Amino acid sequence: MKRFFSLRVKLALVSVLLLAIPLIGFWYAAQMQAYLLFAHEQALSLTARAVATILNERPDLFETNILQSFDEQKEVHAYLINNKITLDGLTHDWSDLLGQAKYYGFDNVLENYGIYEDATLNFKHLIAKGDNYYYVLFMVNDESVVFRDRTYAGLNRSDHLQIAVQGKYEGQHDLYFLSPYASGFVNGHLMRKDPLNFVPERYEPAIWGYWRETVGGYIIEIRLPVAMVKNNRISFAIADVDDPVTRKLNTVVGTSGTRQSSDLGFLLVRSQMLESIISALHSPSARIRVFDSRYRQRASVGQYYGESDRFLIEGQNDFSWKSLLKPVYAFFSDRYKEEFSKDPKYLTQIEDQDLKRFFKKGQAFTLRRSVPESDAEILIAGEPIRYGNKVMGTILVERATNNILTEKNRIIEKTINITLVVFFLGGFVLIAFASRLSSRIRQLARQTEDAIGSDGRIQDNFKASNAQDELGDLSRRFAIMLRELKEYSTYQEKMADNLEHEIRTPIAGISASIANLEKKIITGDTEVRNHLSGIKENLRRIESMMTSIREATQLKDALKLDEQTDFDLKEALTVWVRDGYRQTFFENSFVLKFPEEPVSAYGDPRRIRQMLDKLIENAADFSPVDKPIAIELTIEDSHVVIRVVNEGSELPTEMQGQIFDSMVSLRRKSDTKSHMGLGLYVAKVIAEFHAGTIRAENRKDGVAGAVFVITLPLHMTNIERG
Amino acid sequence: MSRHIAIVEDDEELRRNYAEALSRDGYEVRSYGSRAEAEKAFAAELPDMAILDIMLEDEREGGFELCRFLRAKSAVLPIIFLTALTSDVDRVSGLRLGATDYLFKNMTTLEFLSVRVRSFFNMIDAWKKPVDTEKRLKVGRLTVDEDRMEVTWAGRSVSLTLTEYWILHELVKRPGNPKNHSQLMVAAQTVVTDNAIAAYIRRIRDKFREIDPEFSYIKTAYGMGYRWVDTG
Repeated sequence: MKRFFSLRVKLALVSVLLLAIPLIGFWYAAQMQAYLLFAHEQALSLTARAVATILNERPDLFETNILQSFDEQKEVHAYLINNKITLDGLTHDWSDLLGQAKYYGFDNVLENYGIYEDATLNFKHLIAKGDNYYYVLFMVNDESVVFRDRTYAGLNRSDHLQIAVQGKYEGQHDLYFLSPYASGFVNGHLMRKDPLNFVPERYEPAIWGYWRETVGGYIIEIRLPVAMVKNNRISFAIADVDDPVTRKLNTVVGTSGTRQSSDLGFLLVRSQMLESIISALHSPSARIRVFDSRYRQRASVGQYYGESDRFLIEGQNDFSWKSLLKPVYAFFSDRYKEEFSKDPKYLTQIEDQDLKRFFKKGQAFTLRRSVPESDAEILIAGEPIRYGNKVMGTILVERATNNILTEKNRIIEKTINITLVVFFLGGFVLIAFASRLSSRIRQLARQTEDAIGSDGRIQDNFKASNAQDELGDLSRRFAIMLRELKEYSTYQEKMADNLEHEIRTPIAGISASIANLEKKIITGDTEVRNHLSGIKENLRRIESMMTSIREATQLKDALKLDEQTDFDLKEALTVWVRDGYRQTFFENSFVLKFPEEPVSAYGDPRRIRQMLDKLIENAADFSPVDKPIAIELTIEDSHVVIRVVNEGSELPTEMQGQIFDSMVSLRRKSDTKSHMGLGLYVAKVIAEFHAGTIRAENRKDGVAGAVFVITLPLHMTNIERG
Repeated sequence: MSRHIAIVEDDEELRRNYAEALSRDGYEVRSYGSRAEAEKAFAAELPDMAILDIMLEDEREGGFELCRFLRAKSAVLPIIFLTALTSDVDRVSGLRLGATDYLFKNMTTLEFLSVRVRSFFNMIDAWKKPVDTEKRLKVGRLTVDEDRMEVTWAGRSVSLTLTEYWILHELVKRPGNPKNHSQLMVAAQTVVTDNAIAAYIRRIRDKFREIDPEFSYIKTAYGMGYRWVDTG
């Protein structure tokens, strides 16, 4: 018997529950992440406070700029560089900073004497601080480059660069012009104080650089000594002459005014002093920045990103089982980038409203900000720097959560690994266990089935299991039950034997007494003899009843002892009717309908006849004497069919199925012969033993009467005997 | 000297009646009601014949025990079992107790008892005389000594009970002639059912097959009876 929902399948389904294990792991990972985030925030906060503590009450570190710079428009940011800048009018050695170059155009027009459009003149500008020099880069877009004319001593009738720095004293400034005759090296020229005299006072070799004409403009790359810029006040301006004939000045675009001392801009340089202090406190994968009260970045140390994402799916470089599982890991873990090529906008510009608010209030704070296209966050801790009651600036410590996510992902990976191992091992064990269980149950079922033999008797072949579990228990209970059943049926059989013995013995005793008595009655007293023969007749009836019960109950066993042979059923029937039935039932007539050819059957002819005897006797009993009893033998569908047909009363419909059961009789009680209702039962047992069937029905040919139909296999050469 | 017959039967009525009948025939009958009683007596003196009930008081196989006891003392003593149960006959054969015959306790037992007893004593007498080869019936490989009631098949003895012998004798008297149940019943001096006759035939066949597994000389005549087929 094949079942789909076997124990094995059920337990396999149950083992799917093992897949819930990772939920615990994921929950744990989430808890750990929250805890680590909190711990990191605390650590960042402490770092921020430590930096702030050092910087508190140290206004000198911020120098005077804080007080002086009011106009953001005038600010020029200088970057710190480590690499050497070659002054050759080529931008490649600025590459890192080029993105930071500030654009000057329409908004920065200082003077204009014609028509100005953005396309007329604009430039990008960068300042970097090297050891002792500021390096300045101008990338100028100018539709018409006009170089200096050698016939003219003034510097104002050609494209030129103006640099204004503070002079010896405050309120005074020095103005330098640079204007080459052609692409090539160029020097600064100190201009006279007279604003209308454009003939330089002197040549200034400290300001030196290279002017290279390019397609659509030119590039100027110069340097000037740090010492030349006093108080960090400086302005740059590009003056544009477009008409090489009139050489009239067209437009001046600059960082701030170069004509008045007060117009000079502010050069902001990240403080080396500050950064060296912060460096000591710097921790890996965190960035410490110092902002002044105007949100200008004054120092920055370190990078805030951390480890790379191990499960980020890129090109498959190596093939292993781990790489197969990578999508699984990736599905359950978080994604983030190894590094952030650019600060999110809110960090470069400090545009975040929360940040601004905290900056203004001068409060310590921690914030979390998401990183676009990433599951990572940036943790930000802030701490104000105070000078007395005044907030001078803010320390920002930033750290990306990459390493926390890495840690979390590692836990998730391990959880998944363990789950898979547990699932397959556990599943295997469960399935093996289920197989064992179901095989034991099936074995028990088979044993139970086999315990009842084909004869309906309990066999002695049930072996109780020794297993110490419930199944073993069940098996032992079955064994006990079967043993008790067997004992009971043996007891019943013995009971029947004893009963028979107990009845037969006194009958024999009575018979013997009568026999002895008969010997002693010498004269024929008819009356006494009649009484005696009456007693004997009754005793005979009791005996024959007992015999028929006995033979019926032991029929199945007795049949097995019979001698089975091949015989011609047609000939046998002929003999039985001729020598048997016609003699026994001489009042009745018999009609035989047999086929031409012999009908071969296999079995014990005596038993087949015993079966027929009952049917004939039955037919004779129910049939009127003047109506013939028909015995028909036919071969139908490789079966031998014997029909015994009589006229007479019909079979009650409800009895048709029952009459072959034992102790069921249709006869009236008043019949003189004793009928135990065993005859048809015996007939059925014999038919079934010969692999045949027997049934009773009413005649269908319109005549009232009954038909008994026996069907036997045609060639019963190989029937199973038991 | 009259013959000495022992009857062991726990039913008093039966015992008394059988004893009376046999005494009437001139035998000296001693009857016992239990196995212990009988064993005690047999230890002192063996009877010339023993008639044993199988179920004795509480012992289902008390008669079998007694039979073994007697057989240990004498191999030739005729022993007749009395039984109420048909199934016991197969058990007797199965146990190979060396029973000489068995009789069913029924209405006709007494009628046939004296015939049997006489036959046994005749047989015993025949064994004491020299073999009279004239009285031998020979059919093929079968030899039947009618005085000694001894049957041999291909020179080997077939040990049949008295009833079995009578049935076989009836069959081989006229080889090829079928004998129906009632003819066999008369020959066997008994009144039993058709099925019981069939059981006797089966047991006779089995005994021949023990000697010759190919034995198939007793044929069923379409369930009407049996015949000895002499294939020469």
